[in-house]
Amino acid sequence: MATETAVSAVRYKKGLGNVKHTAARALMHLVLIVSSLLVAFPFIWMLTRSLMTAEELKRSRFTLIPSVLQWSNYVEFWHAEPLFPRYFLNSAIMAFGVLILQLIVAMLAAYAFTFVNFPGRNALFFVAISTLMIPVVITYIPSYIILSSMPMWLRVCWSILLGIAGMATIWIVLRFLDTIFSGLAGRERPWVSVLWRVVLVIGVGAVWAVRALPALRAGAEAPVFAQLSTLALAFLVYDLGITVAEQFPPSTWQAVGKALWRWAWLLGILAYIAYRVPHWLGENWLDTYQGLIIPSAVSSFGIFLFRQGFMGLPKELLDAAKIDGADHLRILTQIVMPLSKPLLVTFVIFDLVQYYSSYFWPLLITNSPTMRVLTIGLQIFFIEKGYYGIRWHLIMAANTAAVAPLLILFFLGQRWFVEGVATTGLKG
Amino acid sequence: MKRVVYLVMVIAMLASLGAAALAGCAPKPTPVPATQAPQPTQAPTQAPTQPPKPTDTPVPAQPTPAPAKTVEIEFWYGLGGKLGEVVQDFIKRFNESQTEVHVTGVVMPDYQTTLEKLQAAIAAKKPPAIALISGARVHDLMNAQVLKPLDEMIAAEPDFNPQDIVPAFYKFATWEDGKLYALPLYGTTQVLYYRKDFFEELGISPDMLNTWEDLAEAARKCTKVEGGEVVRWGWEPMWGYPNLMDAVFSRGGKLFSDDGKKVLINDEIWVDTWEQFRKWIHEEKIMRIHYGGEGWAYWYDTIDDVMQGRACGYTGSSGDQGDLDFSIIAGHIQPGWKNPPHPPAPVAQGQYVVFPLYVDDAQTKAALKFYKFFTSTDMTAEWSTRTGYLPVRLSAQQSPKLIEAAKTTMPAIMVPAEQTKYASPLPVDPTGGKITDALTKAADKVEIEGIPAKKALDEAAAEAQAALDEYWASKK
Repeated sequence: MATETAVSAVRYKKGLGNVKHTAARALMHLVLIVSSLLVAFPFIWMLTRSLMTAEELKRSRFTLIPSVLQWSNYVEFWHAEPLFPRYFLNSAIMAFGVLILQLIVAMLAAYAFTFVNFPGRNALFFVAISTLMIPVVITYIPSYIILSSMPMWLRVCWSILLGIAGMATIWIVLRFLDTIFSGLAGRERPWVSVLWRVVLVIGVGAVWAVRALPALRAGAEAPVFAQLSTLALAFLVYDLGITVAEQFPPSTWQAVGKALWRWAWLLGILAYIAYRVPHWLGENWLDTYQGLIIPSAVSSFGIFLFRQGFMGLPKELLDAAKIDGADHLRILTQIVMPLSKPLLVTFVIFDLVQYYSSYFWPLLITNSPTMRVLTIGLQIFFIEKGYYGIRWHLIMAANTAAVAPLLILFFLGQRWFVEGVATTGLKG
Repeated sequence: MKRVVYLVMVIAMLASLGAAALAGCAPKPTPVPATQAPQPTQAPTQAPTQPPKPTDTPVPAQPTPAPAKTVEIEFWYGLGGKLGEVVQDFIKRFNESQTEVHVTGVVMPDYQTTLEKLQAAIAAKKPPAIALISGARVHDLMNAQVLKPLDEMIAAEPDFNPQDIVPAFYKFATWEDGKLYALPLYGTTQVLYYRKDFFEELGISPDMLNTWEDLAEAARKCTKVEGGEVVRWGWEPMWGYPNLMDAVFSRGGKLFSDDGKKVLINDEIWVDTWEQFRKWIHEEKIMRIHYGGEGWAYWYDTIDDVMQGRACGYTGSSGDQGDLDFSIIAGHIQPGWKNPPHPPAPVAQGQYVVFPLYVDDAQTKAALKFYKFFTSTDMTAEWSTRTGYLPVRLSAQQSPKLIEAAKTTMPAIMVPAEQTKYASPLPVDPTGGKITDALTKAADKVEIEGIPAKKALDEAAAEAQAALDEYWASKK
C-alpha cells in the first residue's frame, strides 16, 4: 500500500514534470518562432519586393506575395549598372583581404599571449584589448590623413608584413594539401609530400616561364603579376627544399642545412619584397585596395576571441607535441588550429559579414567608380539608376543579390558557427 | 641550442628589415630594379641621352601639338537622377570641347556626404580642385579658411563677366574680408506644384495658392478620407525648416534683429506661422510630410505622392521640374499671407562650387574654366530648361532657349524666375551651422512629433542665441 502510494506519487510528479516540461518547450518554441520571424521578416520583405513590379510594390507597403514573379528585375538591375560585377569583386577583395590579415595577426598574437611566456605579456595583452574601447569612427580622419601620404618606412614595414602574410597563406594552403594528399596515399608512404610538391613547382614554373619570364626580361618595369608570381614560385621552391630535408632522420647536419636554406630563401624573398613592394603600393593610399584593407589589418577582438578559445585547450597536448620536437608554428597550425575549428569558422563569418557590409570607411576613402565596394555601389545605384527610390523593385533586387553571398556563407558554416558561439569562452 | 638559433634568426630578421628599409628609402625616384636587365641593352644607340622611357616611334609629325599637357581635375558633386545625368553630360561636353582640361566627375550620395568627404580631404591636404556644396554650408568652409580667394584668378580669366552673375548669389559668396570664395553653380528656390486635374475637378481656382490661408482651405477641400484613413492629402510641405522659414519670411518675419545680435526665431510671427503648420499636419490632418530615409528619399516620396494622386500638391524645389509630368501638374509661386497681409518672400539660394586650398593654382584655374563653361549663357540656360533650376547668369534669363522651353516642354520654368522677383536672400548663419541646427531640430519637433511651436522655437531660440552671443564675443 505504502509503496503503491509512493509509486503513484512518483508517477504523478513525473507526469506533472512532463506537463511542465512540454509547456516550457512549447513556450520556448513560440518565443523562438516569433523572434525568428521578426528577424527574418525584413529579408522576406526584401526578397518578395524584389520580385514585384514597380506599380504593385507601390500599391501597398505590406503585400508579401507578388502576383507574378518578376525574375526580370534581376536581369534589369544587373544590366542597369554595368559596374556591379566590379562592386562584388571589390567587396570580396576587401573582405577576404582583411580577413586573411586579421586571422594571421590574431592567431599569432593569441598563441603568444596564451602559450608563450615572456616578460610584459599581460601588459601587452591589456594594451591590445584596451583598443577595443576606442570607437573605430574616431580613427577615421587620422587614418585618412596618414593614408593620403604614407611615409616610406611605413610602406616598407607594411610590405614586409604583407609578404609574411602572403607566405603564411601559401604555407597553410600547402599544409592543407599535404593532409589531403597523404590521406589519399595512405599513411606510411614517405616522399608523397615531396612528390606532389615537385609536380606543383614544375607546373607553376612552366606557367611562370611562359607568362611571367618574358615580361621580366623585357622591360625595366615588369607588371606586378609577373613579379608576384616570381615571389610565389620562389616560396614554393623554398618549401620543396624544406620538405626534402624533413624526409631525412634528424641530425645536426640536417638542422644546419635546413636553417641555412630557410633563412637564405626567406630573407631573400623578404628583401626583394621590401625593395619592390613599397613602390607598387605608392605614396597615396586613398582610393586603393591597400587603403581599404590595411587600416583594418589588426582586430583586437580577434586576438581576444582566440586567446579565450586557446586557453580552453588541454595543455597536455601541447606538451606532448613539444616533446616530439614540434616548434611553435607547427603546434599552432597542426594542433591548435584544428582544435579551434568552430572558433575559426565563427570568426571568419563574423569578419566577412562585417567587412563585406562596411560602409563609412570605403565611402570616405574611395572616389573612382571602379573602386566602389558593394555597399557604396548600392547607394549610388539607389540614387543614379533607382532615381532615389522611384524604382524600388530594382533596388530591392540589387539588395537581395548583394545579401545572397552572406546568406550562402552562413548556411555553409552554420553548424560550426552555432557550435563556435556556444563554446566561446568556455574553459575545458 | 634552439634559443641560440632563434636569437640568430631574430637578429637576422631585424637586420634584413633595416637593410630593406634603407634600400627602400634610398632610391626615391622609382629606381630600376636590380634584378632586371640593364637599360642600355634596350636601345644602345639612343640610351645615353634619352630619358628612361623613350617613345618607340621617332616620327615627329604627330597631330597633337607638343605643349598641350592636359590638366586633370576632379569635380565632386552629390547629385543623382536626371540632375546627375545632366551634370555628366555637361562634363562630357566640356572635356570634348577642349584639350587643356580634363574633368573627372565623382558622384557622392548627397550634398552632406560631399561636405564630409571634402572636410576629410582638406584635412589630409588632398582635396579635389572643385566641389559642389550646398549654399547653406559655404560660409562654414569660408570661416574655416580652407578655400581659395578667387577675385584675382577671375580677373585674369578672359570673358568671365562676373557682373553677369545674379548679384544676390554673387554677394552671398563674399566673405567678411571682402573677397570672393565660392561661385554659384545654379540657384534654387522652393515653389508650389499642384495637380491641375484635381483642382479643376473640385473647382478650386489656382488663385487659392496666393496666400497660405487660402491654400489651407484648398487643401481641406482636396483631402479625401476613406474608412477613417486619409487616402489623399490636401498638401505636402517639404520636410525641414527651409519650408517653414519661407512661410515666415512671406509674413514679414526675420531671422536676426537689424544689428545682427539677436535671434528672432521665437517672436510672434515665427511661432504663429509654425503653429499653423503643426495644426494643419497634426490636428486637421490635411497635410503631411515625408521624413527620414536615405539621402533624398523623403523628397522623392513626396513627389511620388503627388504624381500618383495621393496628394493634391506639394512645396518643392525649382529643380523638381525634370521629374514632374506637366500634363497633370502645374507650378505656382509660393504664397504670401492674409493675416497680416504680406506678399511672398521665400528664399532664393545658390548652390555653390568651392575651390579648396592645397590644390595647384593650375588646377584651380582649370576648374574655373570648367565653371565658366558650365555657367556660360547658353549652358546655364540649357541647364535651367533641363532641370528647372535657376540659371546663375542674368543674360540667361532672356535666353531664347529658356523662353522657348517655357512655351513648350517646361511650362513651369518661369515660375522660379518669377519668384526671384520677390525672393529673400538666404540669411548667413555666422555661427557655423549652430543656428540652422537649432532650426532643424525645432522643425523636426513641430513637423514630426507635433510639439507646440512655442515650446520648440523657444528651445531653439535659446540655443541659437547662445551660439550667436558666443560668435559676437569672439569677434571682440
